[in-house]
Amino acid sequence: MRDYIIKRLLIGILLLFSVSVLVFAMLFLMPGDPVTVMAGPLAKASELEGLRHQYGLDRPIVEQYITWLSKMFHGDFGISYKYRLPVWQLLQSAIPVSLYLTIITLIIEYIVAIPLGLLCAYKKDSLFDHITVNVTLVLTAVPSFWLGVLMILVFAVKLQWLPVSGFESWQNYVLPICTGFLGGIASTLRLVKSEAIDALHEKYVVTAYAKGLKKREVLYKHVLRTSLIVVTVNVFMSVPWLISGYIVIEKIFGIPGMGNLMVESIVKQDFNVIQGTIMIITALTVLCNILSDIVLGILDPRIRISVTGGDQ
Amino acid sequence: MNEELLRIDNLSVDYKVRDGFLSAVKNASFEIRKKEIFAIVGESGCGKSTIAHSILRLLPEHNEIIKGQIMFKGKDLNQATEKELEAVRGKQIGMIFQNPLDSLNPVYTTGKQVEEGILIDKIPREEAWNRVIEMYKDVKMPDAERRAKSYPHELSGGMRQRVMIAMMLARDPNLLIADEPTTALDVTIEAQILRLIKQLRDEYGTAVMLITHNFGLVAEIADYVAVMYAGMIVETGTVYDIFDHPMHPYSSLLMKALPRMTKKEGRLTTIDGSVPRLTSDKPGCRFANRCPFAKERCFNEDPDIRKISETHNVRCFLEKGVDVR
Repeated sequence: MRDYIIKRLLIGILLLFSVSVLVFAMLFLMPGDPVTVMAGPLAKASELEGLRHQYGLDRPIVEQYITWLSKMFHGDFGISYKYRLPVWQLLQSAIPVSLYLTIITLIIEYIVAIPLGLLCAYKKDSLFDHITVNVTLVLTAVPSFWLGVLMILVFAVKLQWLPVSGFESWQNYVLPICTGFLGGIASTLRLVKSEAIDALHEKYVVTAYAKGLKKREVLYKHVLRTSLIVVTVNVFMSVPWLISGYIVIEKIFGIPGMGNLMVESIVKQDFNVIQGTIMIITALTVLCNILSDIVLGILDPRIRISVTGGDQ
Repeated sequence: MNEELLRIDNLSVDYKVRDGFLSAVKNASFEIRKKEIFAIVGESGCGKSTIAHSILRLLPEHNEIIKGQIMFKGKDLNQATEKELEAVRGKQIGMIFQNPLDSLNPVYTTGKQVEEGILIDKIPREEAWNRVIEMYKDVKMPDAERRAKSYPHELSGGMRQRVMIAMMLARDPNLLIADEPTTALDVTIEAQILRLIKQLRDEYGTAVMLITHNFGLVAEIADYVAVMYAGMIVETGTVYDIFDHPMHPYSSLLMKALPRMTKKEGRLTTIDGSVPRLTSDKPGCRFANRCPFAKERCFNEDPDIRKISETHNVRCFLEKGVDVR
C-alpha cells in the first residue's frame, strides 16, 4: 500500500509541474505584452524597457520560470493588478467560501442519491424508478442560471424567506446549495443506479442469497458495498470540478468564491490572479485524484494487488 | 437410506420472452433420497440449471413462471414465502455454482464470506471463525488459516470452488445442489473436487444434486441419474439402468457418442439435427425431429413417463426401448 501511495504522489507532482509550465507559457502565448498592458498605450519605449527590467521580463524564459515557480512555493503568487493586493490573500478568502459551498452540496447530494439510486436499481422499471429518474433528469436539464434566478424570485422576493444574495449567514447558502444540488443530483443518482444494477447481476449476489442472507443484508453488504467503489471515486473527482464549476451559481448569488474570482480576473486580464486560481484548482484536482486512488485501493483489494503486487 | 428428501412433481418453468413464452422445463418429476448423489445430465441449455435454480428460487431475471410442486421435507418450496425460503437457503439446501470466481465477492476475504453464512445462526464471532477454519480443513484447503484471510483473486479456481463448498456446507444442510461445479476447472482439479464432494457426502450425509453435461463424471460418482433433453426429463434410473440399459433413443444415442477406450473406432458418432425452439404449447416429443425411430404419433402426442422397473423410468412411446450400440 505504501508503494502504491508513493507512486500516485510522484505522478501527481509530475502533473502539477506540467500544468505550471503551461500556465507560465500562457503569459507568452497570449497576444499582447504584459508590460504594455501594465504601462498603458501612451508609455514610452524607454519606460517599457524599465518595467521589463524591473519585473525581470528581460531575463531568459527558463530563469523567469524558475523564479516564478520558487516564489509560488513560498505562497507568493504576485500582486493582483486590479485589487493591488497579494493574490494569495484573495485566494485565502475565496477558497474556504467555495469549499464550504461545494462540500455541503456534495454531502447532501450523495446522502439523497445513494439510497434513491439503490432503490431505483432494486425496483428497476417500476413506477418509482421512472418518476425518480425522470424528475431528476428534468432538473438537471434546467440550466442553473435559470433555476437560480427562479429560486431567488420565489423564495427571496415573493416569499421573503431567504436573502437574495451575500454570504454572511447560513441562510445565504440555502438557495445556492439547493440550486447546485438539484443540478447535480441526476448524474449522481444515475451513476449509483447503474453501478447497483451491475452489482445486482453479479453471480456473487446469487451466492449471497443462496447462503441464506436476507434481502436487506444482500443489498447492503454485497450490492451497495461494491457499487460504492466507483461512486466514492466519483465524489473525489467532482470536488475540483465543482469548485470551478460553480461559477454561474456564485455569480448569481453574489458569493465571492473561486469561481467568481476567476471570472473577474479573466475579464480584467488580471494575470497573476488567473495563474493563481488555475494553479490552485490544478493542485486540488491532483490532490483529489490521489485521494480517490488511495480510497479506491482501500475499497477494492484487486486494485491494490495490481499496483503493488500484493500485501505479502 | 431410502427416505425421501426432495420430490419434484410436474415442475414446469416458462420464461416470458417478447413474443410469448419459452418453455425451459416441462413436467419434470424426480425425487432425491437422503445421502444420495443424484445427477441431472443434459446438454447446454436443456434446462438443468433452471431446475436447480428454481428449487431455491434463485433464477436471476424474475420473468419466469414456475408451476408444479417442489416438496422438500414435506413442504412445498414453490408455495413458500420469501421469508420461509430464506430459512431454507444455506441452512437446509446449499448451492454451489459453475464459475467459482464470479461466485465470490471480490472485495471481501473468502473466510469472511464463509463466516457471513455461519453468523446467520447467531453464533458468536470467534466460534464462527473457528468453524470457518475447520471447514477449510474439511475441504482440504492447504494452509487453511492463511487462505481464510485471502481474497478470491488470490486463490486458484480449485481453491475457490473449495471455498464455495466450505461456505455451503458450513451450516450443515441436508442437500447440496452443485450446478456444474467443475466445468470451469481443469481435469485434475475436477477429479479432486468430485472426490471431495463424494467424501463429504459420506462424512456429513449430505445428499447431492449434481448438474452436469459430463457423462463420465456421472458414471463415476452418481447413484441416480436423470437425463434431460430440451427441457424434458427423458429418462431416470440408477447409474446402472442408464449406462447398461438405456431405453430412450436420446440416452442411447448419447452413450454411443461417448468416446470409449475399448473400441477402436475412427470417429465419434453424433446425433443429427439440432435442438428445436421450445414453446410450451407445441405438442409431441421434443426429441422427435432428431429421433431415428420417430413415428407419426411422436410428433402429435406428448409421451408420458413410463415405469420400466422399480428404479427405471422413461418418457418414450417405444415399448421395448432401443439400444443402438
